[in-house]
This record gives sequence, structure tokens and C-alpha cells, in this order.
Amino acid sequence: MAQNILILSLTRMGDLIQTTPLIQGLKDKYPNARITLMVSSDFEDAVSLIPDVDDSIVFNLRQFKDSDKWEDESWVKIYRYIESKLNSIRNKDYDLLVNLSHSRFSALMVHYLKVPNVIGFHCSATGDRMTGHPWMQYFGTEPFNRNLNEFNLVEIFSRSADIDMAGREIQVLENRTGFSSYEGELSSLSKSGDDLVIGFQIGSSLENRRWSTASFAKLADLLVEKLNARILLFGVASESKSAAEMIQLTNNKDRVTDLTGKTDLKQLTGLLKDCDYLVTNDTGTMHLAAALNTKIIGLFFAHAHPFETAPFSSGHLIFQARISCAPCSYGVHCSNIVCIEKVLPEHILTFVENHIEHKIWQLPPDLINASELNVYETVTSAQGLIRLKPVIKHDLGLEDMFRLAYSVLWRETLVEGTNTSLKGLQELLGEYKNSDSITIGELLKNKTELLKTVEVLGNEGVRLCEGIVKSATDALPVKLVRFGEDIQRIDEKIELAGMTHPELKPITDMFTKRKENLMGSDIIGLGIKSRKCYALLRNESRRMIEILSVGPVGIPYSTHNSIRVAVPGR
Amino acid sequence: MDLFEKNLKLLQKHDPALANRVNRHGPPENVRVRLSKEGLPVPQIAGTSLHSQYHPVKEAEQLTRGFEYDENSRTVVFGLGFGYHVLPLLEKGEVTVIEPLMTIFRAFMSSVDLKPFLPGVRFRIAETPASLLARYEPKCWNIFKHIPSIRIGEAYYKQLEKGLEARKFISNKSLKVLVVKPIYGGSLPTANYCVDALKNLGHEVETVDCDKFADGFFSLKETTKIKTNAEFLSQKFLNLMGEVTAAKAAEFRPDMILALAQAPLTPEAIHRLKELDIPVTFWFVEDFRTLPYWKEVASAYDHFFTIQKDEFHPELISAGVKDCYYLPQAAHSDAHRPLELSFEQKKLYKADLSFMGAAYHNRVQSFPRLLDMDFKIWGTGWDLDSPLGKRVQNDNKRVSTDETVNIYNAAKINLNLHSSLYHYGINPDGDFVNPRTFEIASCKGFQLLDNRSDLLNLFNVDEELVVFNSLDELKDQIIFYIANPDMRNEIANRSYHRVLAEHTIEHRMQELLIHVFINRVDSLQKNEASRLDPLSYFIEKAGRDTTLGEYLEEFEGTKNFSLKTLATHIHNGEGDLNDTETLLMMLDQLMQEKA
Repeated sequence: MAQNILILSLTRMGDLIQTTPLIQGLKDKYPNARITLMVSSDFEDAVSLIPDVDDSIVFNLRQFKDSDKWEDESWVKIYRYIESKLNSIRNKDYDLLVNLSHSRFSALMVHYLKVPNVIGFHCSATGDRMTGHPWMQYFGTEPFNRNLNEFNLVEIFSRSADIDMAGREIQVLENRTGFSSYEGELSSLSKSGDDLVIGFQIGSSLENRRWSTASFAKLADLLVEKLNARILLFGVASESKSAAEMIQLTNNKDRVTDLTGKTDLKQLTGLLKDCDYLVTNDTGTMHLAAALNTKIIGLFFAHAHPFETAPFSSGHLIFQARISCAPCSYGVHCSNIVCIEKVLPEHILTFVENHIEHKIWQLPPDLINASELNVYETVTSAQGLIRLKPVIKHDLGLEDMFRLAYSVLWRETLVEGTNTSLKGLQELLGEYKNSDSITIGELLKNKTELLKTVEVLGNEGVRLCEGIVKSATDALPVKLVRFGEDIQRIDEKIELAGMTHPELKPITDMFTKRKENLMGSDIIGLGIKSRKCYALLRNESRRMIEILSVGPVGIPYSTHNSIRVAVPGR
Repeated sequence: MDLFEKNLKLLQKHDPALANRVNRHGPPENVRVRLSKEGLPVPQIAGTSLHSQYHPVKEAEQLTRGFEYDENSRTVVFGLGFGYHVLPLLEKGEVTVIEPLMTIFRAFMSSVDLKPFLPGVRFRIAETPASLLARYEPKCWNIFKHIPSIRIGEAYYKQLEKGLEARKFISNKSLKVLVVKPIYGGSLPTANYCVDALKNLGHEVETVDCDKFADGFFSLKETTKIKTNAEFLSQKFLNLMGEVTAAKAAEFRPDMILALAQAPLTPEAIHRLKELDIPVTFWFVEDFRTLPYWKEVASAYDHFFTIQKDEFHPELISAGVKDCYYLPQAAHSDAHRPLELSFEQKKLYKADLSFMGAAYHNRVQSFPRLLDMDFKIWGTGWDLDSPLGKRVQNDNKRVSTDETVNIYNAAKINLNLHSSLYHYGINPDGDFVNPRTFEIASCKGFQLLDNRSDLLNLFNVDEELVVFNSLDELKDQIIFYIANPDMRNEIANRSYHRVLAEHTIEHRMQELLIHVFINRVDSLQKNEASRLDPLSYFIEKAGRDTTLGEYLEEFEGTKNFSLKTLATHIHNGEGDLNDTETLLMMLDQLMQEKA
């Protein structure tokens, strides 16, 4: 029973807010435990938003950023800072550490701290990367299989601490000041009951993820002219230039207030709470507003992927371009950004109009056949889990099928004792439509055959591992060498199956990730653990075949597939 | 025969170069020779008598009595006078006499019998301190100072002592040298040899590899036929290379910048580099008459080294060059060395007569008369359809250094005709000596080469090298030496040892460095103090008695130490990470993220 828990969250504000279900779950699981949150100095203020945190540790590398040269002349200084900081943490006798980062830096930090129980990325005594919990292992494979991932990062983080996700949403402490107590520039702000106040978060940390200022300006005009809205622009000081540009483009400047760089976290929290809607790129402000129950209209462009980072609470609307290159991979430098043009201000206006009137997100008729647009609503599933429900019904693609199937598979295999009804899957498939083209069944049949091949390889691996264990026990070195060579061949085939068939890659990647954790020189022990990895591979392949067999026969296959199409900028 | 001629004849046997030099020097006008009370000649210069006017021999014995001979050092006498002090020192062992004034030596040769001094005394007359220290007398010196001579040549001996200090400093410390290479051309190998040589001398070298931009440079040249535009583009390219060099220098923070032959630096770029407050030097290894680009850049450099001097240096001084210094070519003995060739190699490269080089005008004109011999040619630019072309072995393709070395080793006779764009055979006014001369010798190859005025200063002609003054003479020599392999081998052996003793690129780089830093030892010492060896700096910062300090001490002696050194060491290590190693790996991750 953990008594003293340390959570490493050395990332950004949005990620911090996304850890709230995990922290809440840990508190439920260990009610007497003291929970400490380690954050970077940039987001020190955000700790006050996070419920159930008893203490915080600020890791301040920012102090070394600008004043000194890092290399050569002051790395000893940085070394001493890290050493001193971590030694003071060691003295606090934490018994459980949750690492929510997947950086090697954090893994080494975990190793240094020597906390007896660890969830998340860490490394072995020799510095090799390890991921303990199955959900953290999954987290390690997800960046390479994004289009086949259905899980929000909140769910992944929380499940890695074995937290039951049913009914959990992000939340923050509403430690805010009301409109009436604003000073200085904000003192003119006020809101009466009928005012429609809509926040815009027009910036984001990554430039390519931003909807254009022209689009925001157009939307502002539409909202003002049609709905008499007041627009508040949120963001940090570095986004003021974009804000000024946007205001310049609007016709209703008097209804737009630029608050970029003018609010601290408390003030921001208060203002977001008082907004009726927030139209936002994928940002920390989005998560904060969602946690405050402000309705979000989230815009996901470039690398931003709503399945990963949509606001983890229900009732929000998400827009994403439905084009071959979306979402793009990290590291892609796009020379022809078209995704931001697929979402039109008029689309958002219509949704907002309908929502104000009917309190639900209603698809306008002119978007029913919008083939280049994904619109999702965040909803709570029957199992109490937050998921994205398509608002526009598109043709079911192979990728959609596999994504949904994997959501079933991983919830079963990565959480012991979970059984999922495949009936729910069939209901989800109903969110996609029919049309006249090649049936998906044929393609699924082909993929199923490939899964059977992987299953066979898994089985072969099991057999070989059993042979290794026996040979090691009987001290038969020659046989051992042969088994070792055979195992290597099997592993190469498994890897190849995943590389050549991306739909299978999540399974083969998970297998590889599990094997990464196997260390040491005890051949028998390694043989036994390896056998487990092959067995899981076999079982997961087999189960995936079963899940896919539920797929509706006769639902046509859409030619949309983002995996292999060459697109500008890639 | 008067005493001078008698002495000259004797000197010619032992040091023909010096004999030649003293012979060209006119009678000593500013030296008066007086007879002492004992009837011995005593020189007077500028009113100062260099020895006792009564008993110069007795005086010399008294002066040298306390001198302690050191068998691990070379006895070096500062000042010749008329050598009375030299003879007692000679009794204890060989001696080098350094005298800055040729006029004194000329007077000595005219007044004193040279015989007792030879062969034990090496006379170094009017040599630069750098050449003495790097080339002629590289061993440790055990110095005897002839005070009267020191008074006469005070400035020179002060420089010599500074040179000793500079040599000591350079030999014990690793300097940082940035070498700027040419974009292309025959001098590019010399640049690479300089890099190797500096490293062999223990210095830290970084290069500006302008040759990597060669494709771009040539593409630019082909971009337009409009001359003004082409020049504009060319200038832009040179500006870029200047920026590249400046960027490299800003990062590397060298103690010196060395540019070589056609390195693409404009005067503006050179002036920018001088803002680093370090010497910016150039080694011009071409014929100044053939490649006149030196006119635009030479005066911008702090030191301009040349392979020619008599006619070139006055022109350089007129052009405003602050310091020009004669530094002849040399061989890179790591690359140019004697080899045991395999059977296949011998088959391929063996010939009575070989030539390796480009098809310059004088070669194309003169080589046909050698076609009645077993004559092989390697190189570029040859007309393969001509009779000469049929002797070309490599289809005009570029010949690598390794292949060149094979050629030199395999040939019975290597023909070394210096290039000329307009002579039919030999350039009678040829002064500088090409690198091939040294390279063939360094391979212990036998060569016949056309006579050059500088050759005498570098080799004992006829003993170490055989020269021809006409093409007829050349042919006779070829026939003679093919028939006399033992003589060939003896001469080749002597030239080989001469090159190793005085004419390697290491010698040249050492001489260059001593010359550059002879007046800069103070600033080098200051730089060194402010730029502590990085590892020492970090250990000091960490604290020697700390775990981190002790860990860092294990890396003492590691060159180019940085955090990356540690990260690589830990990554390649075995066993569990300890706390120090874990923290260092974390730091490394931060640096990578920052990068």
C-alpha cells in the first residue's frame, strides 16, 4: 500500500491537467497516501490547479537557459543542481513513483531516485530503457501507430497506475477570481447573464497546429454579427502578434478583447469559466477550459490527433481535416498546409448556433457529406469511458475497423481480468456508413490470414523458448545456439510482418516492447519470460482475429487510407 | 692560391651550400682585421674588437674553461669572431657556430685557416632563428656565448633566445591550428600533409575543407558566360568561404590560422579573422610568376611564407607585406616512404625511366627525345593519341598518393623536370624546388632533375642529388645511371637521409610555428592560462575531492575532452550505472535536447 507517492510530470500545462484522473485514482486507491507532483518551473503555477496534490517539487532548468552557456563552462553547475535536487528527493522516502514522461532523461532520473516501485519509463541498472507496466509499454508503441490508437493519453496514463477509468474526467481546482475583482486592463470586463462570451485560443506551441488568424477573424465576425457574441483572445505574450493580426482582420474590433499575455493562471481560470465556449487549437488552455466545464470547440491540425489529446470530458466538439496526410507525423515539415483550410468558420458558427438553441451538437445538413472533414463529439461510453463519437458519418475504412478492434483488444489484454463485450464494438461500427465499393470483408479476410501467420510465429516462438529452457536445463550448448538462431529468425519475421502490414504493427510492436524489458544472463529465466512474450503475441493475434470477425460483412470498404499516399510536404 | 680560396675549396667538400653563399658575398668592407701582439688576426667591427688584441688564444682558453660539456645536447656557440674560442670547445666534442653576419664569416675565411675547424664544426651563418631551431639544429642546445659577438649582433641573438623559448613552449604544449585548405588543385595534398604534420607534432588541428565546396564552386563557374556576372558570383562564393572560416574559427578558437595556396579567403575575410587577435598566416607554395593572385591577398596576412625568395620577397615588401619568410617545400614522410613492392606492383610500375606529373609545355616538348627508352608516364593532361600519349599508363586519370609512391619506388630513374608554360625544356632561371624533389627522395627513389638555384641550399648536389643543365646532359645521365645501379642507390640513400633530417613537412611546420610565435610566446602563455585544458577546468569546478572530481580525473590525458567524451565512455561501458554516471547521462540528454 503506497504511502508516499511521487509523480513526475515534467511536461506542459495541458499534460498536467490530463494527469488529474490518474491522481484522483491514486488518491482513491491509496487514501492515506501523500501525493507529490514534480513539475518544471515553467508550469509551477499550474500545480495549484491540480486536485489531490499534497506537495510539489519544482525542477528549474530554466535558470540555466539564457544566462550562461550550457556547454563547457557551466555543465558542472547544472550537474550540481540536479544532484542536489535529486538527493533531497531521495531523502523523502517515496515508495511509489509514477513517471508520466517518456524521455530518457526522466528514465535516468527515475533510476537515480531508487524508489522501490515505479510505474512508467525507467531504466535498468545498466541504463537500458525499460517500461514496466503494460500500458506504459503500449504508450511506447503508440507514437508509431497513431492512426490505430483509440485511447486518449489520459486513459493511458491512468491505466498505467491500474486506475479504473470508468466515470473519470479531467478536473481542476477552481481557485479563481471572479470578473468583478479584475484590476487594471481587465477591470472593464464584465458579464451579465445573457451575454454570450466566447473565448479564442488562437496560438499554440507548434505553429503548424494553428488555424489561420483570418479564419479566426472571420469566425469572430460571424459570431458577433449573428449571435452578438463578445470574443476574448487568450494566450501568452508571444502570441500577441497573432492576436493583433487577427483583430486587424475583423470588422467588429470593439467586440474583441485581446488578453494575450495579460492574465495569470488564476485570472485565466476565472475568465475561461465565464466563457460559454472556447474555440481553440490543441493547447493547455483547451484542457483547462474543459476541466472547468466550458464547452470546447477544438481544432486539431498538423500533428495534433484528437484521439490522443481531445479534452477528456464529455460534451465537446472536435474538428479535424479528413485528408490523407492527417494527422501528420512528428518531424514532418509540411510545405503545403492544407488541413487548416478544411475547417471553415461557417461550420463552427452553425454548430454553435444549434448548440445554443438545442443544447446538443447537431450536424448541419450541409456537412452531412463533408468528405474532407472529421467532426467528433466527446462522449461517455456505456463503460463510462470518454471517447470520440463521429458526428459526420463516413464510410468505414480498414483503419477505422482496426482502430476500434484494437481498442477492444488492448483493454482486454493490458488490463487483467477485463472482458469486453463485442456487442459494443458492433454498435460502434454503426457510427460508420455504407456505400457502393469493395466490401471490407474481403480486405479483413486478407488481414486475418496475416494475423494467423503472426499467431503461428508466436506459437513457434513459444515452442523455441521451451526448447531453450530445456536445453539450458540439460546444459546443451549446441542446441542452445541453434535455438538462439531460430529465435532471431522468428523475431525478424515478426518485425517484417508489422513493417509490411501497418494494421498488424501495433501487435508486433508490443511484442518487441515486451522483449526489450528482458535483461540478464540467466538463460532459463530469460527463456521463461520470452515464452510469455510469444504467448501474448499468439493470443493477441488470435483474439484480434475473433474481434475482427465481428466486423459487419457487407459494409463497403472506403478507399481512404492515409498510410501509403504520397502527399505534399511529406 | 690565397687563404680564402684554399678555405673555400675545403669548405666546398663539407658544406657546398655555405661555400657557395660565402663566395657570392663580396669582400668584407666593414670588418677590419688587426694583428694581435702574438701576430694573430683579430677582427674589429664597428669599433669593437671581437677578441683580445694581445693574447686571443689565452683569452679563449680562459673564457671556455668553465664551460660544461653535455653529451645529450649539441654545443652551440653564439658568435664566430675568428673562432679562437671555438677550438678549445671543439676538443670536447662537435660544435655548431651560429653567426648572423656573413661579412664576419667572409673575413674569417680570408684570415684564418679553416682546416682545424672541419669537420667538427658546423657553421650556421646568417640563418634565421626559426630555420636553425626547426631544421638545422633541432636537438637541445648547450650554449656558449661569445660576448663580443653578442654585442655586435644583439638583436639577432635576442631573437634566437626567444626562438628557443618558443620552441620549448611549442614542443611542450598543444597549439590549436586552423588550416584553411584550397578548393582544388595540386597544392591540396600539401595542405593535407600540413594537417598531418601539425598533428604529428602534437598540435590540435581543425580544417576548413574548402575542397568539399568544389562542386558548388565549379557549378557556379558554369552558371554564366557573362564575365561581370561570373566574377560577381565568384566573389560571393569567396565571401561565403570567408564566413565559413570565420564561423569555424569562432567555434574552435585557434592559436593560429594557416591558409594554403589558393585558399579562398579575401582580404576582407582575412581582416575579420584578425579580429580574433591571433596570427593569420599563408604558405604560398606556387610560382609567384605563374599565379599572381598573391598580389591581392599577401599584404593582408600577418606572415606570408614562400617557396621563392630572391626576386619574390622584394616584390612582396613593395606590395606591403609585413613579414615574408622563405619556407621551401618538403616531403610527407608518412606518405612518401620506401616500399617493398609486390610482384604485381613491380610489373605494373617498373620502368627504367618514369615520370609522374602533368603535361606542361616543356615536358611535352622535351620528352619525345626519350621515347627510345623504357619510359613510362603517369599524370594528367597528356594527349593520349600522340606518341608520348602511348607511354601514359593511367589514361590521364588522377593518380593517388599511394600510386605515386609506388611509381617512385619502382622506377630505376625518376625524371623530375620542373614545369614551364613556355620553355622548350629547362627553365634556366628556375629558382624554387618542387615537392616532387623531396617526395622522390623520401621514397629513397633515384631522380634526375633540372638544376634550380635554390637546390644548393637544400641538398648537396652530386652527392645527394644529380642535376642536368641541358636535355643532352639528361640523356647521357640516364644512360650512365641505368648502367650503375650501385651509384644510384648510394645517391638515393643519401638524399633520403637528408630529407628525413631536414626536409619533411614536420620540419617546415615547426619552422613556421617558431617563426610565427617567436615574438608571441607571452600571448601564448596568456592564452594558455585563460584557456585551461577543459578537463582541468571541469575538475577544478567540480572540486578534486568530490566524487565528480575524482571521476573526471580518470580522464586526464584525454584530448578534446568534453561532456560528450564522458557520455560516450559511459555508453560504451559495462556494468551498472553508478550515481555519477547516471547524472552525467541525464546531463547528456539535456544537451541533446538543447541541441
